[in-house]
Amino acid sequence: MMWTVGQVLPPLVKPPLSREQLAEYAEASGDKNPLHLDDAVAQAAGFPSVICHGMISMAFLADYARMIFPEGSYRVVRLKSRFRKVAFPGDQLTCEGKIKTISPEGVIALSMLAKNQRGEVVTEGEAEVVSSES
Amino acid sequence: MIGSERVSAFRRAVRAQHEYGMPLTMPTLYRHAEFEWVSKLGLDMTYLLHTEQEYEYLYPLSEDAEVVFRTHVKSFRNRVGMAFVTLETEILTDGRLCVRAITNFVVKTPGAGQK
Repeated sequence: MMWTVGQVLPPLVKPPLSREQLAEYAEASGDKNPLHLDDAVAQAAGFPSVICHGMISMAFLADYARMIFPEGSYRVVRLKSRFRKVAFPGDQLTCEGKIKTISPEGVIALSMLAKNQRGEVVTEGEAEVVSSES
Repeated sequence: MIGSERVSAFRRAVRAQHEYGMPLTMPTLYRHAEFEWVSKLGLDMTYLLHTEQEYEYLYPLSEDAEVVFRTHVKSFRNRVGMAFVTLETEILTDGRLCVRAITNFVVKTPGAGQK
């Protein structure tokens, strides 16, 4: 596959976030911060309800990077996220991205965004990818 | 050891559609020492905001290998009622560095905004 700088990549729509997913992620990751699990705690902190783990949005961007650059053919060597906005159960995130740079050594850098259903950027991401043969 | 069941549970939890091996964000399992550091620095986790996360993947992390991890404070700045903390966690198997995690937190410190 030929990649070009500035190339816009197809989006990935993730399933809507849910309280069940927050509970599953808390169990699977070990992050049981009550902000993600207990409405009363989240409301005391000023949120209308429990908030989603920012790391779930990062995981969505990782999945997106793998969709564009499949395992086996490519290796992800770096992944970075900046958490901009809180997401709540019921929000649905769409990942989108574009090729940012391609180094002479073949390192492909992509910039990514996870946006909610209102088009607001929840998380910004970057990934660096190399061919598995390199 | 991570184990295949844990990998599957993590993959389900993040609703992975295109990650078939160990999910790229799974090293988060080894970041719990970072919260201990936040407490050691005298910061209140209630006011913690996770602002950035970065992973460098240096060597494949196997679900069957024994994992060792070590966390240290990379930087700490206190500025006008906010603490900016960068923590680095190195995740190793068989003595080999597999993943480097860099985490940025911002924590509001007591009395912030008050004269």
